[in-house]
Parts: sequence; C-alpha cells; structure tokens
Amino acid sequence: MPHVQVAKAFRRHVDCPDLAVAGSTVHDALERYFETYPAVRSYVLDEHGAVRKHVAIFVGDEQLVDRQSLTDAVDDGTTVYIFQALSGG
Amino acid sequence: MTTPPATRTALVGTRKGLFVYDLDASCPTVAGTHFLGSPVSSVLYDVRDDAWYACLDHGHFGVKLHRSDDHGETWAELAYPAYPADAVYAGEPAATRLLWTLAAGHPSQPGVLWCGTIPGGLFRSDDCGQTWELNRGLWDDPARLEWFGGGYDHPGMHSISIDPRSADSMTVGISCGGAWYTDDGGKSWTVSTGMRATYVPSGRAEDPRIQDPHRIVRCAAAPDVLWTQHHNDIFRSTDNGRTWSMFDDVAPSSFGFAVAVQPSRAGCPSSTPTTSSTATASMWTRPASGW
Repeated sequence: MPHVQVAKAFRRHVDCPDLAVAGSTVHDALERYFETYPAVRSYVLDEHGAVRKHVAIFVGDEQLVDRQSLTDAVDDGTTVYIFQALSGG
Repeated sequence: MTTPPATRTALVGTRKGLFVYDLDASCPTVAGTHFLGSPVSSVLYDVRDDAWYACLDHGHFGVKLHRSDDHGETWAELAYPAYPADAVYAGEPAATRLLWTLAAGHPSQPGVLWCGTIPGGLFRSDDCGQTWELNRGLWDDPARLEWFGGGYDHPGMHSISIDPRSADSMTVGISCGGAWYTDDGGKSWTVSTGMRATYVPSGRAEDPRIQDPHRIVRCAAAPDVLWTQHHNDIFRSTDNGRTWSMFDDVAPSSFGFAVAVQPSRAGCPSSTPTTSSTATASMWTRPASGW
C-alpha cells in the first residue's frame, strides 16, 4: 500500500498523521486518506479538487504532474509526500 | 448567590491572531488569544446565539472558518464558503481567496449568516455556517465583470449591512465594485450611485460599478443613514444606500479604511484617517461645509 506523509507545517492547524492507504493513483490514495482524516482535505486541495497553488506533492522523489486531477500513478510501498511549497523563496 | 455581570469583550482580528479584550478592566486588557500567528481576516460575535466566529487565512493552506459556542474555550472548524464548479472568475474556476467579512443575518432569521469574499462572491448560510451557498443574483449580474481589485489583486466584498427593518433589505460594499443593495433578499441587486473615483479616467469617474468603498457602515438609530470611507473621499447616504453624497474637505485626510458611526447619532462618523506622513488613529473633524 502507498503511504501518505504530511509535512509538520500542516500539523499546527490540523491533525494529519502518516497513514498507509489503498490506491493506485494519487487521487485514490488521498481520497482514502481523507476518509480517515476529512479535515485535511481543504488544507491540501481547493474547492474544485485541485492541489492548492502553494502546496507541493511528491510521489517518491518525483513531483506530482497532474495537479488538477491527481491521476499520477503510485506504487505499493511508495510514499506520497505533501509539503508546503517554497513560495516566496 | 448572584450571577456576575457579563463581561464586555472586544474581539480583534489581526494578522497575528485573534485577541480578546476585556473592556471592563480599568484599562482594556488582553483576556485571551486564539489562532496565534495566523491572519484572522474577520471576526463575528453573533448576539443572537452568543457564538463567536473567526475567519482565517492560512495562506498556503487556504482560508478556514471556525466557530466557538463557549467564548473561545473550544473551536470547531466549519466548511468555508466555496465557489461552485460553474462559477468562473477571469476565465478560470473561481476559488475563495479570502473570507473578508462575516455578518449575522436579520434577527428574524436565526442561523442565517452572510459572508463576503475575494474574488467578490457573497455567500449565505442557513445553518450557522455549516453549509454555504453562493448568491447567484449578484454573482451572475453582468456588471460584476466590471469589478476589479483594489488593495488585493481581485475584487473583494468587505461590507455587509442588513437593514434592521427588513430581512430582505441589505447593502454590500465591494472594492472595487461599488455599493449594491437588494430589497428581495438577494434575488436581484441594484448598484447605488453618487460615488466618484479619482483613480480612473474622468469618463469613468462616476461609474458606480468601479467605485472603491473601503468600508460601509449603517447607523443603528437611523437605518437610512450609511457612511462609507471610500478610497478617495468620504460619502454618506441618507436614503438606505441608494445614493451617496461626498465630503472631500475633511481634516486631516479623507483617505482611510475603517469607519464607524455612533449608534445613536447618525451625524457623527469616526474613522482612522491616514495621510502620507502619518498613519494615525483619530477622529475626522467636521468639514467647514458641515456633515
């Protein structure tokens, strides 16, 4: 199963522990994660389901490509990292 | 056993958090802090049910709305007013960039809240902020396409004034989209007239759709009287926000942002005038021509 790991910067605002979830795409993995931690959704995605402009997602070492629909594939054992973007330098 | 008198408090939203002031102390003191370090874009104390609301701007992580039913002992995060999929701004799906003002509905409508946002949408909740719906009457008005940003990149609604005499009547202010009023609960809207802008070509100066009222307030004792601190001047309405008259000879400056009106004295506004050399908190002085 993929793992979802959320940066500590989020934890100041919302409870978001690391979690192993089912799913073969980032979208599916995050949907499973949000089923367990629904409050985290609006911190990562905007109201249209896209990744917030200043949030960065990596699949393993690779940056997420499809920020609108999150269709990037994710393999078993891979970690989906969610960071605050380095906006502003 | 006697019940202690209720403490008078002030909720102050800042870029550094929400500060609660005890106004009954010998001098106002900070009685509590909440969301320390997070910008609080608007706060509301709803006298109808004693609830506190705080609108937050977490920047990277978006806007949030919180409610407390125990004067800040605990907070619950609510859904924030979010634009529907078919709402478009500048060719892209509209997204909530800031919760700029939150207002309690009319006393006859418990649970009703109104929220003004950037990029300009007005939202209504019928369930104390649990769910929100975009007001399509104003959003879908073709005149909205004339609005533009002022202090922010996109137009924003910062003022919502409910007419205490009618739940269907209200006035809202937008930077830069002017002042709009409705008498049918928000089904249809009309832009008010009389403001003047000095930051556009003269041919557009009186266009009511591009005015920049920084804040609009209503006098409690005289609900037909509203005041606005506009970008370039001060305006007053005596006909429930339909038309506005200008005051441009106000010392020390007719520029500023905040404005308040004494609840029992419709002719006594106060503001925080700002000049290029000072950013002072003071009162307007009555212009030579009178208010």
